[in-house]
Amino acid sequence: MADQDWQAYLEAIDQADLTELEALRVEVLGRRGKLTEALRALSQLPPEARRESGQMLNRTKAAIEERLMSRRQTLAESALVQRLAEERVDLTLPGEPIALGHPHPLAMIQERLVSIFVAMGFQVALGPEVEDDWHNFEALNFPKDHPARDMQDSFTLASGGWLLRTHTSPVQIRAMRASAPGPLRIIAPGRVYRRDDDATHASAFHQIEGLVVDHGVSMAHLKATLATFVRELFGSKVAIRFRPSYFPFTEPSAELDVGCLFCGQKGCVLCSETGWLEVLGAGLVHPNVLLAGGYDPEAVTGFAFGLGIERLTMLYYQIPDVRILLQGDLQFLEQF
Amino acid sequence: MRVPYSWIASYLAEAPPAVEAAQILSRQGLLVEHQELIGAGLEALLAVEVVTTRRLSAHLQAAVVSTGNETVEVVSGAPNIRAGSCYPWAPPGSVLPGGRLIEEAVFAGQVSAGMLLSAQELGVGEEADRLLELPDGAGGQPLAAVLGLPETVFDIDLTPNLAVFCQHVIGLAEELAAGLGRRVRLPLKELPEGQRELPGRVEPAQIAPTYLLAQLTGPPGPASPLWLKRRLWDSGLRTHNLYVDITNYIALAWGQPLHAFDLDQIKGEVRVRLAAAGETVVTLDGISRQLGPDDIVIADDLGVLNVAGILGGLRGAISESSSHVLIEAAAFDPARIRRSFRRLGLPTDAALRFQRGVDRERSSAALADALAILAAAGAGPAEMVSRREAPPAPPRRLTVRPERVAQLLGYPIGEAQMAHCLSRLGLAATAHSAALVVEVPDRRRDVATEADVAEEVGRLIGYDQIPETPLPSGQVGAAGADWELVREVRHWLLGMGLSEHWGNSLLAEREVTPFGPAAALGNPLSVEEAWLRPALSASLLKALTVNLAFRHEDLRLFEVGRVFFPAEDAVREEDHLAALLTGGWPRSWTGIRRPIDLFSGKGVLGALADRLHLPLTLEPGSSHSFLHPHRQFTVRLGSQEIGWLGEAHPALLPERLKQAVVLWELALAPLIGQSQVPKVRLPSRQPTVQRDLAVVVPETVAFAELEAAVVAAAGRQLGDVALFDLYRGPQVEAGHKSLALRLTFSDPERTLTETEVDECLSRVSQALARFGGDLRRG
Repeated sequence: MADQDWQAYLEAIDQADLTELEALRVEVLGRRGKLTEALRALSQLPPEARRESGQMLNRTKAAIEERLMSRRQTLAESALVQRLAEERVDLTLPGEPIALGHPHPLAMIQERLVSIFVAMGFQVALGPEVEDDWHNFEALNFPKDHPARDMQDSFTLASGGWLLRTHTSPVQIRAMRASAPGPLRIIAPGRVYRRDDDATHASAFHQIEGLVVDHGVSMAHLKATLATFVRELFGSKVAIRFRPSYFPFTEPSAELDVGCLFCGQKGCVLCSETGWLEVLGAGLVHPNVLLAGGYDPEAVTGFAFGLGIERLTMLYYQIPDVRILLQGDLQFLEQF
Repeated sequence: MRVPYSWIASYLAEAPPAVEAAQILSRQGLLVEHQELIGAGLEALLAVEVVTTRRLSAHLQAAVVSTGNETVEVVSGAPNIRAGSCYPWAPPGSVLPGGRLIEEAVFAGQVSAGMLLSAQELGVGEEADRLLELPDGAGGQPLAAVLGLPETVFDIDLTPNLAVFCQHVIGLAEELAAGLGRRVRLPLKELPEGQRELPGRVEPAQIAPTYLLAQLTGPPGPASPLWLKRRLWDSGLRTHNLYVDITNYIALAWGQPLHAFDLDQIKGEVRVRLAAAGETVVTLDGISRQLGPDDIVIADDLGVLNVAGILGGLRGAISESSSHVLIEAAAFDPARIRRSFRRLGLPTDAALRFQRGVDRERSSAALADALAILAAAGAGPAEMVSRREAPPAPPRRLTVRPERVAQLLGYPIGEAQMAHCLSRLGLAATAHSAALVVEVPDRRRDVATEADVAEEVGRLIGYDQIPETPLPSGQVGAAGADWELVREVRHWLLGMGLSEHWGNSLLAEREVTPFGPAAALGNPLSVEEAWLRPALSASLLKALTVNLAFRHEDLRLFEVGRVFFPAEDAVREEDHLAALLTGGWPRSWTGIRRPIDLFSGKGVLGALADRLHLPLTLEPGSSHSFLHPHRQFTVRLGSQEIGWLGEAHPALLPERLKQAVVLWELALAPLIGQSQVPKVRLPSRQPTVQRDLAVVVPETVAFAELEAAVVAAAGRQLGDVALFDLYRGPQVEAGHKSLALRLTFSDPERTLTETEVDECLSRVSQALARFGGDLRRG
């Protein structure tokens, strides 16, 4: 066969589909293929012609094999492209729903607060929600006629003279009595109850109480601890204001405000146009409270603080009504 | 407490701007929550004098008024328009506070050049039905100057300790002066002469240590001077007539409540005594009050006039015609006042002030101030008819250690600076060896300990000056095993598609009773929140009701929280973990909705136990009446019963709810520290062989029995047996069910042969045959 005939095969390969390609391979390179036959026929030729023709045929065979392989690859690639094109889907269909639960916003804020204080060396302490008057009021230096002791403010139980704690502060007393005279550094998250007949309050809500008792604890320690906490919670740039306040169980007492997070202290509805948001109350533990806790107020001092989890949660998520929090309404929970 | 700043400033020789004063007060613990600017933008308004008036109709008059340079004619419907008096006038083109534009208008054919104004139209008071009467001779002057506008009104949040000595303007002025390092100027005047003291006027004596009574005669129903009205309006009060207004004014200025009586209605001498049992009085609000021997009363020969220090009576009350007047300034026994007003439910301003105790050193100064203002307004002169004054209490002396105060504050302050701070607050401090002796006046009853003194010093230094000193480190923080367990539980249940509920612990009786004995509140606010929950499930069922109301029938909730059980004269508390599942798992467009049933609950609890590595078991059967009698389990940890799982009894559910509600609830405490460390085995590298078989057995055969039989028969090469289908239907005999099991065989040492697997399977087949099973191999 002449060169140009082999050339025709090469061109036919480039046009072939997969089936034709196989037919061409058999026709040329198969056991009875034209090229196989031609190579076999070389032995009939005289030595000089055999070498010349042999070289030519081997080159041709290599060229055809290479061309077959390349054509096969081309066809495979376009077949893949074709198949992938057929696998086109509506990419806008929604994802398969995965059943994931929604955490409660109060739980998330509470967990965040606990984590920050644990990282600062505090231990979590918990206490009963049904308390006696001594732990809830008397030991906390509430004067006998303090308004908070009124029937209007605390729920009492029908029997046994018990009441529902009105704050997490009784945990202070319980923790002190368990640790005195040793040092103490606790936070006490928990549920509290007030008999507030007011649409803007819930009868059950949540606080976190903190207490440090040790030698030489001062207002300066209180400031550093709470400022660190607030910066951790709201970011290092938040403005902080400590101002004098009053609580029966602390003296001196303080309140901590942060610069309004919503208006940059320009004044808005959320900060009642003051530029400040009240975040927590604090103070040095009143000597009478240390005494009730079993400590010698001359030997140790302490500081305590408390904050409302609902208030922080409502500020953080801008929830306008406190009563939605304990309802379990899925339309509300599903946003978290 | 609302107070116009100019009033505070009036007691200082030189007062700072309002903004600065607000900062000083806030820094000292008297938080100025709001500063409201009133009467701004009134530059165009003038005080004008009415020259003549002419009636246009039954209601309207035209007044020629002099603006100083010209006269204009204005129409007004006000009843109190009189020639010679001065009123506020808004010329055409001016704008009132609130944005109302005043234009020339025509009334009853008369062109009105602008408008004469009431206090309300000016935004300075509530009086709306009459023109604001300005002082004589004010005509032609800018209105803002006449009224002292604009005014900054402070709204101050007073803490209970500060309220004792700061809930009046002079107290605020003293705080501001202390912050500035200055002194206040008080209007200190002498009480008039003329007493004819009545023996036994106060009986028993201790019920009113101070009882001052002044008598005066003035014109009937005199109006208060404008400046006094403005101060009361700015403080949020209404004005009435001079005698009533002065009592409110002095209470605000000095913290000393006064009472004014119409002398003409009083028969005989005024006495202070305790009420007789069963005695009554009709108070100012027209209500007849039953009194008792604990109530202090003011009485005359006819009976009770006032509930002393709490509320005046109808008889003896000041009216528009009163001209013979008694003014009372007293200090009543705070404890009795407190008991009385609480029993009567009358926490009036006076009652709240008397229960805290008035400043006994200033009762007479307050009354003298009142009498001076009354006299200046044309009521008087006054004479004293009772002058019973408690001897001034000697100042209390408090010894404090300066170094201790400095240590408490964490602020390096020396004895001299400390003494200086205290003296600015009116607490004279003198050094005695290593201590400071602080003299505390009566009005500072809140200062009683060294810690109180530290707060006073801290307040004056400013808390912002105290440094931030970190606590010493070295303490290891820990949330504790119980907290960590709750974290884990929340984490996994959220991951399993349950949302977190925090339910109220206070529920209605009907909501708690299904779950057994519960503790009741003694003083609930409503029947809906009157009982403490004995189970979280009660809260979860309430949440179900809430969601059903909004047509949310797919609900997967869990709660971690406190429950309460009545115990011998006490209440036992436990922390529980509970879940409620109903409806279905999320519906997808790719397939059908998977409904929730009892086994969803079992699956969730099983998966939780698995994740937490807790040896929880569900034992079929328990005896809870709130659960479906045949669909409930006892949950055990090892052998200890810690809770239950089941379908809620239909009686607990709304009738229209047709789907199962699965509940489970466990005590948390037994789970703490019970996580087992898993025993780890290296994975087998030998191939596994799976065989499916289906067996038809009578309904009475339990899966657990079949499974046990399979495991026992198959031997140690059975790695796993799993139920993958349960079928009842046309192809299965009635009263029977078909269970499809997938058995997985492997041997850790070698590859199993077909023969070995077949041998296992035929042992399994023989075992299942005992259940009367019809077997098919897959």
